[in-house]
Amino acid sequence: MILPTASGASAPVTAVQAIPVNPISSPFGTLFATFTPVQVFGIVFFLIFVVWAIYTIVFIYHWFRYNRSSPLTIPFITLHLMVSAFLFLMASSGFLTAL
Amino acid sequence: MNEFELEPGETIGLSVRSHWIVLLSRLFPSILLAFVPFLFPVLISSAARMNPQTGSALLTGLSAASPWLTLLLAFWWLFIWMSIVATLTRYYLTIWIITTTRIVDIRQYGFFSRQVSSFLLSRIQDVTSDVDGFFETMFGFGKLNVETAGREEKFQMSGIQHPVEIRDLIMREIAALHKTEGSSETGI
Repeated sequence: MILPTASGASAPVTAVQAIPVNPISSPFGTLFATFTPVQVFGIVFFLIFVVWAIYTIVFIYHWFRYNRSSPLTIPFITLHLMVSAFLFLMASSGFLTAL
Repeated sequence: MNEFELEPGETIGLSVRSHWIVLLSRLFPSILLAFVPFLFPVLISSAARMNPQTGSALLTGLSAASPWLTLLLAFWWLFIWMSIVATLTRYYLTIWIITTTRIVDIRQYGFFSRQVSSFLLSRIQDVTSDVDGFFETMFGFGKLNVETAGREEKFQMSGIQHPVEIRDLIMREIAALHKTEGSSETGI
């Protein structure tokens, strides 16, 4: 915005005050300020592991309860456990060095 | 299977599930979602081509967050794997069992949601097989409708493999049952 001055010349007027603006604090910022990344990883890992464990118990119960005689039951449960173990190891791979 | 006990003299003729192509169609959304993370490098590289500054900033940020990205990716795939396991469980625990005296219809809708219906062959009035559509014709699967007398109930199994052969089997079992009943009534 350009306004005329007392001398008649035009000069730019700054509309924004020169006060430093505080950075917006995100919940993640607070989280990482309170806990170390390894602790956050531990909490997230634990919560997801609990969900997975409950799910796996329910899944195994159903296969043993209703499909025990099938030759697929044991291989399928083994496959589930192996794939899950691989994915949990993959999830923790970036943090294992920090532990 | 503990849901039903075979009667004396009753034998299982056939156990049948949905066709594997039905299973594949149910797994397809999960498989598609598993490949979604591979789109992000493509998007980042296209962003880098359009705006090199943004692209390099994104790459720097992503390499700094690498352990967290690995964690996110692994848990994304873990949840997809869990949904695949649930789909496979529903598929394998949903089954039709045709015995010499009845049809047992076991349906697994989800974990803790299971329905077991049993109806006698002697009550069946009409069995219809329905193969309708390109994939159904090519892969040989379709619908089987069984109507029973009395309460005008209609049982249907969709996506069943070899519906024509199964219809013929049911009709043969019904004929054999009527023959046995006829023999016992005449005292032969």
